Amino acid sequence: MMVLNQHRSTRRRGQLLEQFGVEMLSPSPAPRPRVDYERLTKCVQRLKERERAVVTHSFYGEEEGADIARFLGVSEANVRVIRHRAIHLLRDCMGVTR
Amino acid sequence: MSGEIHFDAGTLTEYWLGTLPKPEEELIEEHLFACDECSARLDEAIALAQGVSQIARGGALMTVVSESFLKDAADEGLRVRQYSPPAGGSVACTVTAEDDLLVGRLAASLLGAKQVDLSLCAPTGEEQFRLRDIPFDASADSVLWQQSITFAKAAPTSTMVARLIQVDEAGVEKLLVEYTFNHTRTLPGPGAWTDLTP
Repeated sequence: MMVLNQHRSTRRRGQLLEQFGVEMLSPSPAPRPRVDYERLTKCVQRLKERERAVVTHSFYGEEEGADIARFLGVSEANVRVIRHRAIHLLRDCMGVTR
Repeated sequence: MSGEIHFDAGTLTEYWLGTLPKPEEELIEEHLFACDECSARLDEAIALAQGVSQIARGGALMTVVSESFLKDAADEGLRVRQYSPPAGGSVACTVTAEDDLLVGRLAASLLGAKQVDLSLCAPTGEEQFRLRDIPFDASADSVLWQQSITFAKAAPTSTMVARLIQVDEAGVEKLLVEYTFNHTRTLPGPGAWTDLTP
C-alpha cells in the first residue's frame, strides 16, 4: 500500500488517509518523471477541442466525470473514451514509449 | 500474473483518477505491487496529467472552458480577466502582467446546434485559427473562450474577430454570431508583431 499511495492524486490520497490512517502513507514519495512543458503545451494545443477540454477539465481541478460529460453533452463513458484517446495522443506526441 | 498482464497508460490514469469500478481498481492495485513496468508507466501517466494541470492553470492554452473550470481557478486565487462583448458587438480589452487567465464570454443561443466551431479572424475577415466542434451547453447563454494569456501578453494593439459558426451534418456552415475584441497593449513591447522571416 505504501508504494501505491505514492501514485494517488490528492483526492485519492485523502480517501486512503480516511480509510487506513496517516501511518500507512510514505513520508517521501518517489520523484516524478520530468516534463517538457513547452512541448507538452504544443501537444495539448494539437488535440481536438473536445479532447483538450476533457484532459484539462479532468486534470485541473479534478472535475468529476459527470460534470465533464454535462459540459461536453456526452455520456460519462464517452468522456472516458475521449480521455483514453487523448492520453495516448499526448504520449505519442511527447515521445513516451514506455 | 504480474509478468503476463499489463495495463496501458489510459487505464492507469483512470485508476489514478479513481474512476474505475472497485474490482478493476483492486486488480490494478494488486498488480502494481509486483509490476515495475506498470508502476513506471503509472508514474509517467501521473507526470503527464500533472503537466497538463500545470499548463491549464498557466493559462497558455487557447480553448473553451466551463463555468466550473473558472470557479476552480478563482478559488485557487488565479486572477481571471473576463470580457463580455454583446452579440454582434465589440469590446475594448487589455491584459496586465498580474492576470493569469483571459476569457471571452461569448453571449449566444446555441439551441438546436449540433456542431459549433469558434473561428478567430483578422479584422479583414481572414481566418487565423479555428477551434472545431467546441463543447457547449445548448441550454447555457454563453460560450467561455479562453485566449492564451501568453499570446495576449505578447500581442501588440490589434483587433481580433471571434465567430461562432454552426456546422451541419453535410458540413455546411452558418455564421451564428460574431464579436470584435479591440485589444490595447498595456505591457511593454513592440508595437507590432515582429517579422522574423529572412
